[in-house]
Amino acid sequence: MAEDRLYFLKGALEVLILKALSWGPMHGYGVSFWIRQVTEDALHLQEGVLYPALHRLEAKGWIDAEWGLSDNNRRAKYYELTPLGRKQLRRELSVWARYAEAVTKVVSATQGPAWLLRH
Amino acid sequence: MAGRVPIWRRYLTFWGHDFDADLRDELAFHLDERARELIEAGWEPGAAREEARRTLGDSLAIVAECRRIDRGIERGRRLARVLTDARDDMWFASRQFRRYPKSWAVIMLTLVVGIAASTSLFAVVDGVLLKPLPYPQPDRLIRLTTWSLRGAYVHLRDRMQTMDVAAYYPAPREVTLSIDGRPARLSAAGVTSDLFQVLGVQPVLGRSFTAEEMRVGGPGITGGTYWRTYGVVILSMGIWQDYFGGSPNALGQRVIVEGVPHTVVGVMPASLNFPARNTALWFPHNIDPNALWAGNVATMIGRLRPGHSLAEARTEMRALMPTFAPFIPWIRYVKDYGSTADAQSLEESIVGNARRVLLILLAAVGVVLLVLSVNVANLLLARGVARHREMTTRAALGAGRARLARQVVVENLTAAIVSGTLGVWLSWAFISVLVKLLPADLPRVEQVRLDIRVILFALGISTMTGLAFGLLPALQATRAGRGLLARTRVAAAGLRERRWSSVLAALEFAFALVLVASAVLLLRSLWNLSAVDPGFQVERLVAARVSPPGLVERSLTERRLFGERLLERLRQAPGIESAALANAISFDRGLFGTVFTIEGRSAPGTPRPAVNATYLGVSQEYFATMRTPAIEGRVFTSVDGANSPRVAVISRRLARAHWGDATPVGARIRFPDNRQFLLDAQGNEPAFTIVGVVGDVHFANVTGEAPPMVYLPLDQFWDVESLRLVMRTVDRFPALATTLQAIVSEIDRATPVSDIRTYQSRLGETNARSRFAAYLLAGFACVTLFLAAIGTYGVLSHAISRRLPEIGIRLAFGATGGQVFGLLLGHGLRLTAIGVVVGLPLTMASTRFLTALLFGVDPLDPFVLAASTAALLIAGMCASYGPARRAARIDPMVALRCE
Repeated sequence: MAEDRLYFLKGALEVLILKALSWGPMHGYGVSFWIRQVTEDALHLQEGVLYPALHRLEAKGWIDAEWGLSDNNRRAKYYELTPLGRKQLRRELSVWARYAEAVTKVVSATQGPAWLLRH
Repeated sequence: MAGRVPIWRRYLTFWGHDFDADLRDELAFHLDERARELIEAGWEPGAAREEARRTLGDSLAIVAECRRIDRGIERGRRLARVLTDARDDMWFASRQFRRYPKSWAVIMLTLVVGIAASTSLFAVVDGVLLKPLPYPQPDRLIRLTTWSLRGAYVHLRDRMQTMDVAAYYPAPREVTLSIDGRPARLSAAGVTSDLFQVLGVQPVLGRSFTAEEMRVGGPGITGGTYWRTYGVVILSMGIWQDYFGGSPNALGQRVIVEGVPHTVVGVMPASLNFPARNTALWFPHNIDPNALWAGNVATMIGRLRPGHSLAEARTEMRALMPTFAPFIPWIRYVKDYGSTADAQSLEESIVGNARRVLLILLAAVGVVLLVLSVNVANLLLARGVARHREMTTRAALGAGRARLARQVVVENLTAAIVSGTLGVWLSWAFISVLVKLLPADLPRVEQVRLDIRVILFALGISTMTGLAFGLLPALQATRAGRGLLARTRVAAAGLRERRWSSVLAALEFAFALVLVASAVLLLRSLWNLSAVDPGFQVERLVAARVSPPGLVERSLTERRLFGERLLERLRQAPGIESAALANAISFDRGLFGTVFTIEGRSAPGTPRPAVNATYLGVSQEYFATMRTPAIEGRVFTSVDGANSPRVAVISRRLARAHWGDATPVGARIRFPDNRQFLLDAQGNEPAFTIVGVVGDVHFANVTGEAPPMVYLPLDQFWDVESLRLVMRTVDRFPALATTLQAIVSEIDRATPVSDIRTYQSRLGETNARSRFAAYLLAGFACVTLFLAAIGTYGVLSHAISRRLPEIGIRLAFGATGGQVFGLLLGHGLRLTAIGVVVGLPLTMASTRFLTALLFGVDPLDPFVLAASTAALLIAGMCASYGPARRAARIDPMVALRCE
């Protein structure tokens, strides 16, 4: 089950990160905190996967990293959307909305085969 | 954000990131923050840390993956930085080119020509020497040279363990192919069917020969010598396209070869140019198991079995020699027969000694390129002096020495690469010209073309020359970084460069000497070649091939009739002084060796009872037409007919070798190996009486010794596949070809005449390679000498403009113009002399590589060295004359005011 969730999340995770950073530069923990808060911890995110994803986005040039000081004066790596990242986020959001809408329509179709109702 | 970056972070590029430390920091921060959050929510500190670690997951895996991604990021950044810098430098370089268009145009033009020349020559070397043969696993193909009779082939094929298969083919020859009444003379090869298997070539259409077709008496062609009534043929791609328009309907079609119908069974791909480049037809060469040990020698090739080497195959073949040698009837006459058995790679056997010529030319073109680089470096040094102020200013403004050097290097590399690109364009034109100039017998010329390998080579040498000639100017630029006085006088700054320029100019002369001496050696050798007496008079002598269809099937009488009528008609034709027929001619293929025994000498105890010789059937007018003088006895006359006693004429060399000072006239000889061609009218194997001795004649080339020759009357001689006609014409005879064909057609409509050429051109072909090398090298030598002269001219012009005040003072104090002239001429000649002193040992070390190409001249010939040195001094003098004269005419007042 955890494997399934991870697989499902890999694509979505990038969108989540871009969305989180759209509020402003944030460090990795900030991003994970934001995701947990907004999703009300529904995703049970293995927080570790966040970091490779952040670095991958950096390699793609969608986000930039810079070291700074955190609110409690510790050295922390802050990530910030680049113009390219903003454009990417806009594109992903429109695709995501249509995709989610379509999937929702399918799974909530009024009729289903009998065995689906047995649960 | 930027404001919060600690100042030390800005210098990251100097230290480089510590990725691992950064990653550790990042994850540690995450764990601490998470734990803090949990503690705030009321967790125990220990449990909180545990929970934080658990929710993070496998930190080692995370670090590993992030590290991998970060490396990619860093690589991308580094590349971007290099590219940006290079772009800046190149932009700067292009500005430099625009500022000094003339001097850069000269530099680039020199480079373009130099690169184009070396690229085109490389294309030839690459095509002929470097490219592998166009067959699968070409390095496994080998050629066996031995007494390769049919029996030897069968014997070796069945017994050799180191070789997979072996193929056997006699030398290709010309046949008349006629399709829909259109006749053409084409090169045809009789091959055993495993040839295609050995080479790994599949027909593009149809099939190879079947076992049935290879069988003697089957639908193939027997023995390779006699054309039977019906046969099969495989066409080359070219013939298929020309005659059948590439239509698959060609299969099964009837074509007429030498008057005999043949069925087309297959078409070979264009890549198959074997055994000869122009082979157009392949026939089955069947091997008669009852006639294994007679007949002529053919070529044998094979493919090494995996895991076996060429050396192993050679050893095995030599070991097998004694097992079949006793079957060869005449082998007992051959001294030391085993030593001739050898195996070599097929590629080596095809390329042969062309390798040496081409490598020498490639080395020569390398020298030209070197001199060119030196010349360009010299020009740039002079420019560098002029740019001294610019460089010092840059240095003063903070450009580091490395930065200045890099800028100069990029500038020169840009020039070199632009020139290289243009050079590739030019070499495209050069190659098409060069291919036409290449000696006709150079193997694999069809492989010569401008392809990606050649282009890569061109760009490679462009970069290398760019680096080579850019080195000194770059060093010069770094020194500018040290000289902080932007107002340094140019004259003082140029001192060191002047010295360098002189060294470089002298070096150019040294290299030029090597090429000039080599070229003179080759030209001298060519002259020697043309001075050799071939043993007959070359002027106005023309030879042609006359091929009556089915000649070998005709009786001696029929053939004599044809010959007599032809010669009779030619005698009447205007413009032809005399004409004769032979079965082969000098400077052509198709001569056969034979062995004869001398009657009365084969008594026991006499060493070497048999004599090796080359034998030739000639009509009675032959010696008169060739103007080969009779030394003793007589030559053939009309009494030596088909039914007369058998007679022979031998060459002087043969006479001296076996009869010494005694006369061979009257001696009787027999030909044990060729008896089937020499039977008399009664079918007996006759003895031939020697009736005369004629002068020696060179046959294959003029460099070696003339072969020992036995001439037999054509009328008493069977071994004829096609006739050769030799004619001495009265004058230049432009319409000879049409006249000749008309005359021959009158006698026999189906007989084609081909290969009509003067002996002048035939002789020319035999030393085509030497001539090609000599002319090309002479061209290179001229170019190099010219470059060296330009270099000296530049150095002197530069010297005059620097020494203007000095010259002014000299003139003001009473020096005559002549003295100033002498002073500068001396400077120029000193450079040349230094070049000669350095160049002489260099030349003597290099010319010995030419030894194999030289004829009648020693590679260290003192005359040649002296002449080359003289040429160098003259070039040096010419280069110095202009500047020296200019200096002598300077007005002292102008010169003095200049400073």
